[in-house]
Amino acid sequence: MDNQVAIYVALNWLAVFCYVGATIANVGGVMFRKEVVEQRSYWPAWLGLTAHSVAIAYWWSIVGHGPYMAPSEVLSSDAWITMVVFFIFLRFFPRIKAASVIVFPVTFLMIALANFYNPGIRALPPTFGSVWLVLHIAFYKIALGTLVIALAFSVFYLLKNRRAALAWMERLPDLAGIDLYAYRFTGFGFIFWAIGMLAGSIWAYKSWGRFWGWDPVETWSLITWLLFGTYLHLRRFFRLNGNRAAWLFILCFIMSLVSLFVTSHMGSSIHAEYFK
Amino acid sequence: MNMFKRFFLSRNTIISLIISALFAITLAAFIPQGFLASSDTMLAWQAAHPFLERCSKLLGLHHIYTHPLFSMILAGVTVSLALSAWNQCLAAWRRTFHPDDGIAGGERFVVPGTMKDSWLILAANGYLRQGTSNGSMRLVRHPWGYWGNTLLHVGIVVTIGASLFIALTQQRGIIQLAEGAVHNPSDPMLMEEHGFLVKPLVLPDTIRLDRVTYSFWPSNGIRQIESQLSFLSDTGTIETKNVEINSILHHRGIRFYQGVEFGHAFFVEVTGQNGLNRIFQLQIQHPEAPDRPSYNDFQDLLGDGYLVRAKYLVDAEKKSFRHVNPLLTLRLDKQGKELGQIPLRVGEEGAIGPYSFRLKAVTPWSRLIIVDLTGMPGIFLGFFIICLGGLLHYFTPPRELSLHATTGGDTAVCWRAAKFSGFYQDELASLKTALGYEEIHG
Repeated sequence: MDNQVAIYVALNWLAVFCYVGATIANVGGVMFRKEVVEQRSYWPAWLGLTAHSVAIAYWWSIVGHGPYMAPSEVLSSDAWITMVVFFIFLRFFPRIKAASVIVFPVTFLMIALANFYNPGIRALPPTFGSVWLVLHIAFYKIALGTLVIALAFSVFYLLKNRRAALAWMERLPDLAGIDLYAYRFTGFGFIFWAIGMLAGSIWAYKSWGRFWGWDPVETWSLITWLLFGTYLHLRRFFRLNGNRAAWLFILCFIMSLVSLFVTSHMGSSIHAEYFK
Repeated sequence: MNMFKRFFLSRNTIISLIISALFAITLAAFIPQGFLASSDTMLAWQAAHPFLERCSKLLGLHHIYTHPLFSMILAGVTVSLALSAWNQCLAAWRRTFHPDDGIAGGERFVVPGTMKDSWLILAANGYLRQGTSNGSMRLVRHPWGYWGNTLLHVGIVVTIGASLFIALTQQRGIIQLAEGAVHNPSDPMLMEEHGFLVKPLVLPDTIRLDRVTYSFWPSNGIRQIESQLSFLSDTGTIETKNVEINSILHHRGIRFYQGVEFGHAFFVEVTGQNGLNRIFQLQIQHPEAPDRPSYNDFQDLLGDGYLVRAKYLVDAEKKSFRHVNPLLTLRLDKQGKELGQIPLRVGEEGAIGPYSFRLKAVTPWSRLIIVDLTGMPGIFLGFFIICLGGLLHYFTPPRELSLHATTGGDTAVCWRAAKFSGFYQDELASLKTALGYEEIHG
C-alpha cells in the first residue's frame, strides 16, 4: 500500500512540476511577447496532463471508485478537468488561448493543494454507486473548468480597462471581445451547472426517493445557479457589460467556489461524505 | 391580456422575480426552516438570535418555502417563463420556416463564381438552404439552434411544474423494523409527510421484515444493505421481495427504498417499581468501527424523569464487524445525574437503582423509505429538454448567410451569427477562404 501511495504522490508531483514549468513559460511568453516560448509552454502542459491522467487512472484502479471521495481525489480531478476543458474549448475557439495565463496556474494550485491531503482510501458509501452520481459530479467539475475560463476573461477585462494597462494586454482581443468571451463562457458554465444539479436530483431520487431535500449543498448550488441566471439576464436585458459585469462575474465565481468547496463541509449534508 | 403579457415579459419583472427567488432561498439558507431543523437546533437558534427570532415569527421566516409570498414568486417565475417560452417558440418557428428577406447587420463580401458554386461549397460546410426570394438565396447553419433558448425555458417550466405537482401530491413515510417484526397498515410511521392535495400514506399490506443482510468494505464503511420483506395481504397471500440500496422495490404502486440507517435492536426486559415488567425494543444505529460504540438515548422509556442511555459494540472484543457478539451498556440518569450503568450480553441481567434489566435477544433492524408519488417522468423530461435546449443554445447558435448574384457574374455574400458574432470570426475567415475570397483580394 505504501508503494502504491508513493507512486500516486510521485505522479501527482511530476504533474505539478510540469504545470509549474508550463505556467512560467506561458506567462513569461505572453507577458514578454515571446511567441515561441508561449507556444512551447504547451509541451510541459501536455506532459503534465499525461502524468496527471496516469495518476488518476492508477489511483482509480487501486481504490475502485472514481476521483470524488477524498479531498485529494476531488481537487486533483477538478484540476484535471479544468485543464482538459480548456484544451477542448481551445480546439474550437483558438482565440481563448490567452486564458492559459489563469488556467495553468489554477490547475497547478489545485493539484498542488491536493497533494497536501492524505490520499487515503475512502470506502464508497452504497448510495454512491450510481451512474447519475458520476454525471452529477462530472458536470459540476466541467462547469468549474468553464467558469475558470470566464474568470480569466473577466480579470483580463478589468486589467485591460485600467488607465495604465499593461503592455502585454495589447495581445489580447479588444475589450468588447474579452467581454463577449466572459459572457459566453459564463453561459456554458450556467448550463453545465444546471445539468449537474439536475443529474444530482435524479441520483437522489434513485437512491432515497427524494429528488430535492433542501440539503445545504443543494440549496447553495441553487443559489449559485440563480446568481449566474441573474448575471446572464442582466447582461441580456439590461446590457450590463464592462467593469460592472466583470465584478459581478467575480462575485458569482466566488459563490460557485463556496458552493463547491465550503458547503460540502457542512455536517448535515449528504455531500459531507465526499469531503470528510 | 396584452397588459398581462407585457407585465410578465417586461425585463424589470423578470429580473425582479429572479432576484426575489434568490433572496428568499438565500434567507432560507441562513434561517433554520421548521421542516428541516430539529427542535433542538431551532431552540438553540432562537436563544442565540432573540431579535431575529421575533422577526422570523412575525414574517414567517421559519417556513419560507410554504410562505404565500414564496408561492407567489414561484408562480410569477413560472408564468413569466411560460410566456417567454411561448414567445420564443413563435420567434423560432418564424426564423426556421418563414425567415425575413435579407440579413441585417451581417458582414458583406464578394466571392468569385456563381451562386450555385458557392452554395455547393457552403452545403459541404454544413449550411442548409432555407429558401430563395428576390433572387437571393438564404442558407443557415445549425437552424435547430433557433430552438435552443425556447427549449431551455420550456425545460425549466416543465421541471418547476413537475416539482410543484410532486410537492402537492406526494406521500412518503419511514419505518424502522427489526428482523421478524411486522408493520400493519394502521401502525404509525417513524416519519410521515404528504402533499396538500393528498391524504397521509397508508400501506396497502402488512409488512414483515424477514431478514437484513449487510456487508462492509475492508475500511469498515458500509458496502451494501439488503432487506427481505414479506407482504401479507388481507386475503392471506404472502409475497416476498428484496430491497437494497440503489435497487428499488415496487409493490402495488408504492416504491420502497432501502435506507442507509441500520443497526441492532436489543430486546430488554425491564422489571421495576409499581409492578413494571415489560420488554422494550432499543434500536441503536450500527457503529462506524468495531472498536467504537454507537449510542442512543431513550427519554420516555421508563417515565418519572428517568433517562435510559444505551451504547453498544457489535463485537464485545472490538475486533471485527464479522463477529457479531454484541455488548450493550445501559446507563440510567435522573435529573442529569448518573445512577449507574451495566454491561449486558444476551441472557445477562443487572440492576440500576429501582430497575433491573435483562437482555433477552438481539436482532438487526433496518430503515425503509416508502414513497408514493407521480410526476417524476416530468422531472426527467424537463431535465432532458433543459440539456437539449442548453446545448443547442450555447453550442450551436445559427449562422445565417445569403447569396446574391452580382452584375459582374460574381456572388455577393452576407454572413452573420445569430448570437455572439464575435465568437465565430475564425469560422468566418475559413469560410471566406473556402469560397475563394482571398483569391480576389490576394
